[in-house]
Amino acid sequence: MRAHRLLAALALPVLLSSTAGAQIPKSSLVTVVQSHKASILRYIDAAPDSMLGFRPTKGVRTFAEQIEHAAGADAMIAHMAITGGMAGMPAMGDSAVYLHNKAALRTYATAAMDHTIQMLQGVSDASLMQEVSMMNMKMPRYRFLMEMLDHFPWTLGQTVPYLRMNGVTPPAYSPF
Amino acid sequence: MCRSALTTFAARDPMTRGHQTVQNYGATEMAASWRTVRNNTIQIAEELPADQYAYRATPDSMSAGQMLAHMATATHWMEQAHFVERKMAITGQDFGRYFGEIGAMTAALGTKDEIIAALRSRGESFATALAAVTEAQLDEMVELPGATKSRCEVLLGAKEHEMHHRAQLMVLQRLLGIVPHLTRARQARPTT
Repeated sequence: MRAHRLLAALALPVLLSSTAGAQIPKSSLVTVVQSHKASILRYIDAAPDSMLGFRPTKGVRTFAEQIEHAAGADAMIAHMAITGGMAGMPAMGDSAVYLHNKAALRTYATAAMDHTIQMLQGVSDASLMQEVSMMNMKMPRYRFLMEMLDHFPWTLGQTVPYLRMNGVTPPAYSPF
Repeated sequence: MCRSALTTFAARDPMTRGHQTVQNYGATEMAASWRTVRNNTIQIAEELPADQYAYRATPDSMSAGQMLAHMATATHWMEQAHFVERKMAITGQDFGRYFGEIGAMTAALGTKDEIIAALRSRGESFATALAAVTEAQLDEMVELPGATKSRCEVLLGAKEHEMHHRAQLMVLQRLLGIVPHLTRARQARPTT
């Protein structure tokens, strides 16, 4: 069920930024996702255990849910765009555990980002150029993958005020 | 390493050669993407009441207005480095100079109207410059302190920077009781 919620939330940026995403080669996609992985682990490490369930106001995700959404969406986009579906998507953790346990959350985020990187490393250049259908749209596979580059900072960035409101100075940020 | 890699590939790949739906994305599309992102920022800036521009989540974080002013002027260094000075290497000293200029520009933006005007004018100036970048320029490797990146990858960072801060603004909106417009649009979509 969590996968469906992720998909529902993901549809928006994809639809609203139909022109989003400049074309970059696979190696650059991998490099950016590796940078994102390092960022999300720094954010998790900076957060005290006590703030996993923190939400700044009602109606928004908790800190742990934001981390889950940022990392899990990357893994899901990469898996779906490259394999064409959810079959074979590895279980990366139990949300009943990792949403309440920082070590488990770190393990989940690591697994999700590693799966994303692994999927990207395994895709061929020919496959990147193939047109695929996903979320009721058709476009070259790499265009779907480019969505990760928009969605991730949009989600992780939301945790900056979360950290501030818990007395934590956010880790240094760089888009490179 | 930005566009030409896949453009070249498309030309030699029998599956994609001549296939109209496979598009190449370069400077024009990067500019369009940037405009999409910036327009969403402008909508947030417009929806925030002027008397809430001073709102900040905590005393040690940027206010909404400061963040928007920062976003409005942050592209200055990219414009200078990539489009005006056409640098192949950007040093720490260069960054110090650029950020000094950005600081002065940001400080000059005091009101909601001034900030929105700067978001519009500087955003469009950056988009126009992006659209004019050649494929060869996107492929150039640029030395940064501690890293070497293609100009394309560095320019993509502008969008990521905007997303990083817009994400924070959306949380500030929530704290002020405003449902962000992108969330409203999602909520308005029929569920399947």
